[in-house]
Amino acid sequence: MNLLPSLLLLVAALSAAASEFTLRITDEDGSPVADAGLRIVLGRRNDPRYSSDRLIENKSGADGKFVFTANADMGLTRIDIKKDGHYPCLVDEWYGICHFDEKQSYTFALPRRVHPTSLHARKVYLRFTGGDYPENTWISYDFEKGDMLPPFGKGEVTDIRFRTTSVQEGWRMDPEALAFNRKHPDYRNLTPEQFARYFGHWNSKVEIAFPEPGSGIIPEPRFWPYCRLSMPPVAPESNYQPNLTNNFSSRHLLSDERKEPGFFLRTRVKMNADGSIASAHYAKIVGPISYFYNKLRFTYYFNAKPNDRGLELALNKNQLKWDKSRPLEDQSDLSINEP
Amino acid sequence: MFLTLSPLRLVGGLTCLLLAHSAFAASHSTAPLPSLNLIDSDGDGISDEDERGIGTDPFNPDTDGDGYDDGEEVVAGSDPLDPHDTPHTLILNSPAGGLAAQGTPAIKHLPLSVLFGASTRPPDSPADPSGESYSGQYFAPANAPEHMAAKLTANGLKSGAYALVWEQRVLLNPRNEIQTYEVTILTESGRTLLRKKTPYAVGAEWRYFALSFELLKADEGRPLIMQIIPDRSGPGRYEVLQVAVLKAGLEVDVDRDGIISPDERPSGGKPFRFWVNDDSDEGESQERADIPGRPSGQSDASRKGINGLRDLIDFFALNLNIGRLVDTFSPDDGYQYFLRNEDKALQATETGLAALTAGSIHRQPDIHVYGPDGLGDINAATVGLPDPQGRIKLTKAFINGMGERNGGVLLVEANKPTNRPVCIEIVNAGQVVASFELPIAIVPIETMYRHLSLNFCARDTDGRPVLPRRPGRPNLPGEPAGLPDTETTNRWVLMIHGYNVDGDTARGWQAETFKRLYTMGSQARFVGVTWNGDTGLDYHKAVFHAFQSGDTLARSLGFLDPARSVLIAHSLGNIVASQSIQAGFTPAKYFLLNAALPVEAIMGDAADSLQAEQMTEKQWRGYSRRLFAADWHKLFSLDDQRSSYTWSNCFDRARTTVPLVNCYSPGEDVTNCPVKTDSAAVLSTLWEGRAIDYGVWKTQEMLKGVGWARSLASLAMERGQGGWGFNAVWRGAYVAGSQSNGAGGYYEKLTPSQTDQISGSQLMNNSFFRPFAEKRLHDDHLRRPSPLLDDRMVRYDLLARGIPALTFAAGAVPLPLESNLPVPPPKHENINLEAVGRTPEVRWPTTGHKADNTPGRWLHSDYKNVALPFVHPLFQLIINRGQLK
Repeated sequence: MNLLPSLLLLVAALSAAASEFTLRITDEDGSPVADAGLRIVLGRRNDPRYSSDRLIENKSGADGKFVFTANADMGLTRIDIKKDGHYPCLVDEWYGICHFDEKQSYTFALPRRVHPTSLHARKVYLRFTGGDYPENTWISYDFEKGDMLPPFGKGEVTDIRFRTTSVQEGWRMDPEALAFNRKHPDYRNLTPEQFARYFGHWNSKVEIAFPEPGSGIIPEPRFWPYCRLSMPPVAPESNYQPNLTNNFSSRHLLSDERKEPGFFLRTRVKMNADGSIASAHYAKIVGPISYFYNKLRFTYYFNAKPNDRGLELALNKNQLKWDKSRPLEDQSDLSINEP
Repeated sequence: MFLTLSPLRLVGGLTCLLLAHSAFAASHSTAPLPSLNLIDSDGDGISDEDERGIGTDPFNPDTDGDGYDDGEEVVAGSDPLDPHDTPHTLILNSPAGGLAAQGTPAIKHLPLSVLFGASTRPPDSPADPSGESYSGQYFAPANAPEHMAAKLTANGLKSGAYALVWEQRVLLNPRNEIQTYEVTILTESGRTLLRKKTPYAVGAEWRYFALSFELLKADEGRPLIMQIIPDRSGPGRYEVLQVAVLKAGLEVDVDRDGIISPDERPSGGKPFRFWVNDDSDEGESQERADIPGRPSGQSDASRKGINGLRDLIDFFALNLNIGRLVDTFSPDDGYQYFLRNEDKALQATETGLAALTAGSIHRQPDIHVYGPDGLGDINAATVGLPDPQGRIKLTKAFINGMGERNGGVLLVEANKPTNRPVCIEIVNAGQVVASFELPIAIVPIETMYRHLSLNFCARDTDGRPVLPRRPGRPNLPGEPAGLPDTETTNRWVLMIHGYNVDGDTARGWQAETFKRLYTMGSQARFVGVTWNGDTGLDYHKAVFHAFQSGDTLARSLGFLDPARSVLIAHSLGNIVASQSIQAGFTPAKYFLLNAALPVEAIMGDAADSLQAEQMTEKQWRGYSRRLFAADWHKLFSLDDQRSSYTWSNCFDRARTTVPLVNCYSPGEDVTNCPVKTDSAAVLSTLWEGRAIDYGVWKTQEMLKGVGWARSLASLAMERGQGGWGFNAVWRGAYVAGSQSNGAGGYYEKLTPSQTDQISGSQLMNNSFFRPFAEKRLHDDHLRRPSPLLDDRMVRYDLLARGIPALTFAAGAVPLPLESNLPVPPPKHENINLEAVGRTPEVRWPTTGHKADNTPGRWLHSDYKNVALPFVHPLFQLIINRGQLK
């Protein structure tokens, strides 16, 4: 048996050159964070053993940086970052840190812990049991009550409104497979509309609007899904836009939600006579507002204290308690654990 | 005639009645001990010396001539010197008055006025809030008029365990006989709850005794008659004094909800069932330690102390609800307490646990309830061993603490099976003066559940049986002797282990999974399933076996009701489970634990581009997917069996008919699909035994079709085909070697753009990937149907060895429930084990846990390896979702 090719490759791998890694730690505004504790795990390429992992523990310097070298066949697989007064981060390879380039540089935000407080937070999963999602209809949602407004729920104040529309664009499978599924016992009882909904490709649009002037939404580009607090701790003061439209296609279903940023919102605005804001409430939506297959999903945090832009949820201070009437299965999906 | 209230030292009792007679009470509290002069000249039962003391005639048995002997009168309480005072029965008739301390059980004494002869309750005495009432008689029985007897009638007692307590002595014993009392407890209807001759040798000193009894629900509230009567006549004088009924008994967590409720004990003649501690636990996280039946010296019960948090599962909590007796049977007065089992099968450690928090040993990793003060950590625990009589002496500190806490919890383990009860005995001067029993059945763990062996169903591609290296247990689908079906619900739970688990190791997986479910409250019938996944380094072969085992499993479940069954599968066991569903088995719920199963197998071809890209072997990146072995099936029409040679939707019946709960862990080691792994190249071959442990599932997918020149790991595979190998037919230009004879030359690969020229029909005949081992599959004129195409084994072989998955394993990622095909009637669910499967906000084991560099990860087998107190939420979730209670 000729082992030479493999052995040569082995030797080549073991004598690989070094790579230089630069990690830069900042706060939410981009200012360097010094003395942040770093726990860095590197793994050897194509080596499925924990024993080949290397652990480096150190701290960021005054400029927020930590520079180190490792063999070129070592890639970053996990970084834990901690510092008092900041929210900790856990970055793993799925956030795009595993590369084998000679020079690698990464910046991680470690947002400050400003003022954790009581918030109304909920993962919303709008389903309409016994019927399809009412498209082409404005649906209002009350953040404080955690419910839709009548006739769909018992909410009282409109914080945000949604309207969805969808257009079919072909089918997800070839005619033969479609014919097969039409006869399939699991699907043959579906109405043509339901069948099309399930097996078709759809382009959908979600329009977002607000009931009063001054209320609005801002997409927030700063988003650190690897961090315990994934958005800045304080909502911006201005520049809220009165509406927003999101488009979705079932041809691109599995976007990586961890990489989609969120939104800040201003709601329940009362204006002074001069057009300035007399009073407002602030909220955030973490991650995307997604709409597929009759289900609208988003995760929001709402500060019920007027004019308080702080949006860090303190531990065990979620004012929206778990609704025990909901299916048990939803609890793990919909409960909020993050600040 | 005098009746006085004697000092009562019984405290904390729920109900307590006192009967006292002045003469005896006086001698009890103040009189010197009677002499031992045994001469009784007139035979009236009183010695001559005593007669002189009393004033009666030692030579006349009936001094006052009223027809009653002097001794009889003394016992009955009438005056032997007054002919007008003759023996009669004293009636004490009262509802119990109450001294109820707030928040504690009532302590009830008969009011003094009643004891002085009032026949009705004093008008100002408060009503007894518990509804209990008592009346008592103190009398000289006809069969033994020289002795004293007591009769107590109780009304309104709640069901539960009680102790009948009394004080006793022999005042005169001229013949030095051992006299016993017969204690009887009857219901109103005459049914005997207890009839027992006191076995206690009674001396001249007052001494307390107790007998335990249980009042069943059916007898609750009805009158109970309790009699303490000398069993025969004879010279001497036996005396009974303070008679009390106290709540007292042994309690266990029968329903396994983590709380030992008052009076919680097995009912209906069933014993409390538990198992022998004969595995080999250690620490907080451990692999391959759960095989039961280890010999003495290796088993936990034969090793000192509690062997780490993992060992706690093999202890049951026993609450000694006898705290109210401690003041009466005080260690300071020489009373000793023993836990006893006649078979010497039990060992125990004292704890500072309370009955209501006994379950915390399985739910909180860092409780401090062990050691002499009940405040130490688990390392402070000392497990007492039985003496030759099967007894373990309880410490004075524990007993006194029990008096203060109104009970105390022992953790008990068993070193061998026993059907004899667990007892608490109170001993004084070498005599057992009180005993409390609880029926138990300690059995070998494997007698508590069924076992299905699929170990012999696997065949190789030539149809020859593949025998398991260790066969393990035989097929045992019948009712388990150690846990009869009458003691379980008619729900079923099946557990299927994963890859690299031999027949013996499977026993450990099953035992530990059963124990954890049982401990957390499952009342379902458990079935352990063993299959031949022990194929050494050839993982692909195990996959091949898994498909076959799934078919066999579906045919082997005739003894259970699928609609009441819950399926749990770990790792590669999910191929077995999913295939059994595909073959017709339809359980009520299916839990996938760290499943080594591509997402697409269940959810269909909704693979996102990120996963497909990551799962594509490095040398294939850039080529069109139509060239991939994974997409070869698309070249064929649906009526051609070859269109089913795909992982996509191969278990769609699981998705469409069974509610799935995918329990995944982002921190997985085995089924994680790391970015850093992009080929099955050389370093992957540096296997150190089986130390390969990170991203190995992905590596195995990368290895499909790869020859040894690209990865030595492929040498371990019995059969290589398809996958990420290349078909030499589609090679590019030849590049000559540099040597003069041309040696060292090689063929270039076709570039991706060059492959665009290859047509679909060409790919049927000559795939771009390494051809399948069954070459005729590539014949596009293959006549349909054909034995080859109809052979399910061919398809299983291709999926196992030739067709790589292009999605991640479900063990490390959630199923894309939102983005897939029809909203299925079943409600599927993803459970992130690291978020909701473990005890929140506590540390995660590191010692014995291989991911030292990556602390906090829930690794592939942690559901079983990590001690239950860390992972109990997962089991609670399985029980709740699966309705296993």
